Amino acid sequence: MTDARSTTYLNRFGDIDYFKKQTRFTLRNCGLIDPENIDEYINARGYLALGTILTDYTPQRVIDDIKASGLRGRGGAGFPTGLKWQFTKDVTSDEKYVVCNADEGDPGAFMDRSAIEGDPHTVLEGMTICGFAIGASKGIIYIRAEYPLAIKRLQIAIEQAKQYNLLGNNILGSQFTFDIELRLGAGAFVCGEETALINSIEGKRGMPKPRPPFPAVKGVFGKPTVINNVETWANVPLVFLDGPAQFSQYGTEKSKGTKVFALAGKVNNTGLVEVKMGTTLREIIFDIGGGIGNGKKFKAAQTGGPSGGCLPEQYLDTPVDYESLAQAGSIMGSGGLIVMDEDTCMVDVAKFFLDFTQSESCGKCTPCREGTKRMLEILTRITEGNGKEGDLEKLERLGSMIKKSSLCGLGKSAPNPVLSTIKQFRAEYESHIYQKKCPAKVCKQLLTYTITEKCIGCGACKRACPVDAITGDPKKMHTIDPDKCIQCGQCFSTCKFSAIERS
Amino acid sequence: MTPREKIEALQRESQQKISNQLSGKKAIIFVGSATCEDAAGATDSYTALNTLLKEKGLDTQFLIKRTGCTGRCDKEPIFQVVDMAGHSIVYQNMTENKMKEFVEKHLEKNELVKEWIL
Amino acid sequence: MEKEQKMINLTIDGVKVTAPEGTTILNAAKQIGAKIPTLCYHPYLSTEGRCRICIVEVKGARDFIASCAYPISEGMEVKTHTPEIREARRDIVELILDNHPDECHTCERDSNCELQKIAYELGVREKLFSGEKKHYEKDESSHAIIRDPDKCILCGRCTRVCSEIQGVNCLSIAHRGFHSVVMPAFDQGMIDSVCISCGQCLNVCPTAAFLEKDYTDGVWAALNDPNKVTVVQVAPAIRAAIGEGFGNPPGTNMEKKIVTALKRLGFNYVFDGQFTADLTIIEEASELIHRIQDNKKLPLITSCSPGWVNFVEKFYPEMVDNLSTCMSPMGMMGSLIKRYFPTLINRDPKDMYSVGIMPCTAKKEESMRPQLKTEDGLRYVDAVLTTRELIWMIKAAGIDFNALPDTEFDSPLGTSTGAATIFGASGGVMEAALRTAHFFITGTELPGIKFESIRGAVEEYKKAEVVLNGIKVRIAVASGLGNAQKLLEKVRSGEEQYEFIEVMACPGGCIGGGGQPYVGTYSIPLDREVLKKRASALYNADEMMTLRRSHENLDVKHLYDTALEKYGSAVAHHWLHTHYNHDRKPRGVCICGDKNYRDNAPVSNEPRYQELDAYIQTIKDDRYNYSYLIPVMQKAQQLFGFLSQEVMDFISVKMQIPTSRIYGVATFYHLFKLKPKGKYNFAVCLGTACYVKGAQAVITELENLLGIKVGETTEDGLYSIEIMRCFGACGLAPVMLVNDKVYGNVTPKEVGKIIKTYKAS
Repeated sequence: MTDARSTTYLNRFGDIDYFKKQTRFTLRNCGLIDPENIDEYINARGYLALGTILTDYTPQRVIDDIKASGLRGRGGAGFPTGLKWQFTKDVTSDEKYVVCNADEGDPGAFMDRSAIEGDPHTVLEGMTICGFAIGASKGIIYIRAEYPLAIKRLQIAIEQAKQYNLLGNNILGSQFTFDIELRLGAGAFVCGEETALINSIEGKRGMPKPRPPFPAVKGVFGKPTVINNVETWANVPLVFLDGPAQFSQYGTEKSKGTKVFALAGKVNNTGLVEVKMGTTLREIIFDIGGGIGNGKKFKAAQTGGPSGGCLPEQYLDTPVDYESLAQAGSIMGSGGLIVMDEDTCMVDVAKFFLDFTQSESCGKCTPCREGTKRMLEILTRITEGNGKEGDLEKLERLGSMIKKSSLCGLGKSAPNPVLSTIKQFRAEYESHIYQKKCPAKVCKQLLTYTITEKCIGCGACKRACPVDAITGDPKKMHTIDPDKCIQCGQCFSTCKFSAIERS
Repeated sequence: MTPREKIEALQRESQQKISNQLSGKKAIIFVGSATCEDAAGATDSYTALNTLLKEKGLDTQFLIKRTGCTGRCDKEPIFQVVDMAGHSIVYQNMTENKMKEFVEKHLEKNELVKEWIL
Repeated sequence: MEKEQKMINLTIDGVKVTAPEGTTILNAAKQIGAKIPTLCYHPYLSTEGRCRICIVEVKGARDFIASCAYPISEGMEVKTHTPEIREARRDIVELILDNHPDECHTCERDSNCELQKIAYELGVREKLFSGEKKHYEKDESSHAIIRDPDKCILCGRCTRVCSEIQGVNCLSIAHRGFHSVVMPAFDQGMIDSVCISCGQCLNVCPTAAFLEKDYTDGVWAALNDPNKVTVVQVAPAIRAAIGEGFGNPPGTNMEKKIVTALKRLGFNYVFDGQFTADLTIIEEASELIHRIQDNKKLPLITSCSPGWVNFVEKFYPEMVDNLSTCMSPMGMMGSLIKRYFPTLINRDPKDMYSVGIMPCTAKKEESMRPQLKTEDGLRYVDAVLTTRELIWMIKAAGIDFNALPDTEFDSPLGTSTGAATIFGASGGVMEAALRTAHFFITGTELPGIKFESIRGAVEEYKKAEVVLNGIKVRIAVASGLGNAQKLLEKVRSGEEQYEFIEVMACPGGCIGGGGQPYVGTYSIPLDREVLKKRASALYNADEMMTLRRSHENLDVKHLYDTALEKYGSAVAHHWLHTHYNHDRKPRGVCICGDKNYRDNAPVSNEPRYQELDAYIQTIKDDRYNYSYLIPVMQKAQQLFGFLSQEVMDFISVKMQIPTSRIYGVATFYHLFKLKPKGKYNFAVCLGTACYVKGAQAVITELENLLGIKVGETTEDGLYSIEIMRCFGACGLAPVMLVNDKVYGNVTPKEVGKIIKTYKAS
């Protein structure tokens, strides 16, 4: 299976394992071209799709091709892109908007940043094509203010595209006029949710609104709006460069094309990878990612960030596509893929994600605002050794209520990391609650420290102990007073002789 | 001209511009440049490399291009050297302190630095 | 011709329902008697879908649907009370209770609280999830309104009534998530805020997050002080609503029982606020005629509503001189109680204790105005109680209100005409004034005494024209400050011209005042039907009276004859007229659209303000100007390092955006800082990769070494710590930034070394 786009990459990086198994479509130019020079993008067949469309296509044909390609939104839920555009096209309005959601907020995901920094024009081209298809003349890129370099490159790209008449009035001599402006997000994870994003673009608190009305009908400034994320936009020109049939050759039955993942955590090769839909987790983690480091054992893969779930070993051969991941109890999400090894405590991980969504909750609806707080309290007490019988049931009860009752996607998915880890790692939770033990030795309050015979009495641990729990004469074995010990672990990391045991 | 013809014309122009840049060059050095690359020190390396090439008068022989990241986060900064025959070599962790050695060995003597290869 | 509305067929709980397209599930369900519980929903306010108590199950939908916000569709199958829904609703209500004080039995809203009622009905009998509760200081700074955020359930009705109905924009939700809190901009005390004390927030609050300031203690004390002569006045609107507090239907006129109850409470004299309502009309009609005849400032605008007076002083300072200089009826009565009445009973004015029973919270503040004092510093009105406070006093005294016999008001300040009665409803002052002005100008009585076209201006302002002896008088009436604002903008722009305008701050007028009985238990606040019934109690009383024009009030005539000489005399001015403040405009704005003010607002010479102003000028998008708020705030923060109140006030004026909204935005987004950061800002990434690789330990070490917590700055202003969202350099995890310098693979051990490189210099 060769393809012009991937082969360029293979020619240059092909003999490196990390790249061999990848299929670089949306990231086709990243690392190969100078993102601040439009000529390099044009030279790599850039804006050719737009030129062709403006010459030969009707708006409806553009949408038909997108539908035929099977492209689905890469932002998380996987809504069919063509359908979204069709809804917006079908609404009559004096003004419409095309929005690029570049408010990448998942902790541990940086696909959008990397894609924009490496190849900003492909996003502009994708948005412009959509503008033509739905009859919009304005595009807005909503991007995190925390990404100054990406912002700068987009600004340069927009400027250059205007100079080349690829944006602005009568693009390439056609009747079509389209402009793109940047709006900076001010740091709120919930703004990844489209109605919250709209509020934020409008200068308000980024709080979601009830749907309907959907953005396709009433979006930015109350006008019909298409919102897609960076990766989706980067896919759009591809559909037209080689035709929708070629595009839909890749992937699985319902999930076409490729997906970019930010591979991180306890894996040897961390970084961005782009694979065909349907590639298994095992291939990504072990073939591309090079497996787990330090001879540790794989424990789980977390996909979908704070909205997703944890998949243990038996799911390693799950093909990566929207349906399979959902079936396995997680989600595709925007592409975060965190690998966890045996040293990772699943309760702690669930707590981390919930802590994140809890602090990112906008506070508008009760289930998310109050419910995640209570779930976090329960999780916290479990990790601190104060878990009680019935806590798991409470987590499940709150979790399923929050999922079904919250106003927006953030709330509806906030319990996922907890629910999925309870489902997959119930025993680990129970050991925290009933045996007061953290099998991965992560939860500090559940650990005990003892000094073994390896101790030479150097006194380093004694000096390091913040609460004077360690006693012992010089050059004699020291001891830890368990009543005073606060399980901070300072002695453990200070000891040069591995004389302190943690259990 | 149709929009398609216009973009094709632009394409020809840009091709010309790029090949003009390459004329007389021995190789292109692609230096990763992205938030992550820069955090790993790519900008410092880039500046040092530029200075070195100028000092040695090699800037006419080598073209430095800054690209986005290749996605190989923990190995950054990443350099790729592609010669005119299309042979490419990828170096990892190319921090500022390696620049002198890189110029002397790889660029001047055409020696591979094996331990840096990705 | 009106387009025929498309009808939609659906089933709710198995029952077929047909309703017009666009109806929500909640409203369609009412048709079949399915009462879906709600808290944040309010029919006269925008729908937000916040509380989620109204969730229902819709066939085919994966999740529950908030029925208040979801329109019906053809063939929809809705279930309103499956076991799952019931449990979810119960849990949601418990979650609210878990974050709410457990003090129902000492709460003012006990047994009159929507939350309590819903919790009872949904069967929350035990708490499964309780944990930490939010805590904010109670704000008792205002003379009128107490804000108690601990009791707030974040339904947002108050913020919506404050902006959508009243256009004051004092309240907004600040901060976010679990820390969300309703407050005025900059967390100001209500007294320093732009609040105009109308009290509509407490009217719509389902709990006790807003309450009136309770002055009953002072009144009880005075009643039991043998040296005090206690004199009380009762505003017109009280009689139309107080009955509701004793289980009577709205619109039951309780005038004569109120007098008895007040006597039983121990008041020495019970006077009628309607007496001075007649007096106000006489003075105000004279003022109108003078202003028209002498070409003085027009339109004349009524000033009986203190919320309205506050509003003009704060938001329309250039119109302060349009306000009638007549005191409100309460002020006039207070003045007479301290200046005139003591002479009749041979007592020292110092012995008089004057109480106003008002339907209004703003009257509490009005009574504190320095303008409403005698030369000796005696306040005209020593205490103002709302209708609600009077109800509590009556109940506390064990008075069986409904069983009381009737009593007439005391003389001589207790008689009134029908014109005074209708003062309590929107349009009433205008109608009463026209009845008298007509007589003053033409010497004849207004034919067809009623002026129904200007009654009940609740949804929008009403206008009319009358010709009095060849003089054309264009009049307009508005209630609710949002409507008033619309009217004033037309006047300011010159689009509409009037000679006389009546404004009452509360929707429907005083009958819908912020001090009236809570209707929450059987109806909803602002309910139009309740307002109509209360108004009809007053209009019916007017109809029943023989004397229906203020100038026919014989006791008022007597007052002029014996003390005031003539209409508009010097004594009358001294006793009955007042002046207003020109210096109450806040530094920021709340009312948008005042482009004049924006363009003429001075810009400080400070170069940073100059630059910010220039940046704001670059926004050419007139239609969506407001949408650039966040970029402008980002620019401001770049320039100033953080967002001070002064900077936000500046942005508010220059962009015509209410400060409360700017504050809400500033406290919502991570990026905005309200306090200066340290010279060296340590930002630690807490993305997943960084977390998994030990970023938390780095933060703990930073906190230990610098002695501050995340979000804080050291006292010397050198260091601050903050948590950064994913920086996107996961390969270097954990990542820390000091200002712009990136540190990768940071371990706790290195933190100390890094800090040392950033010493004071």
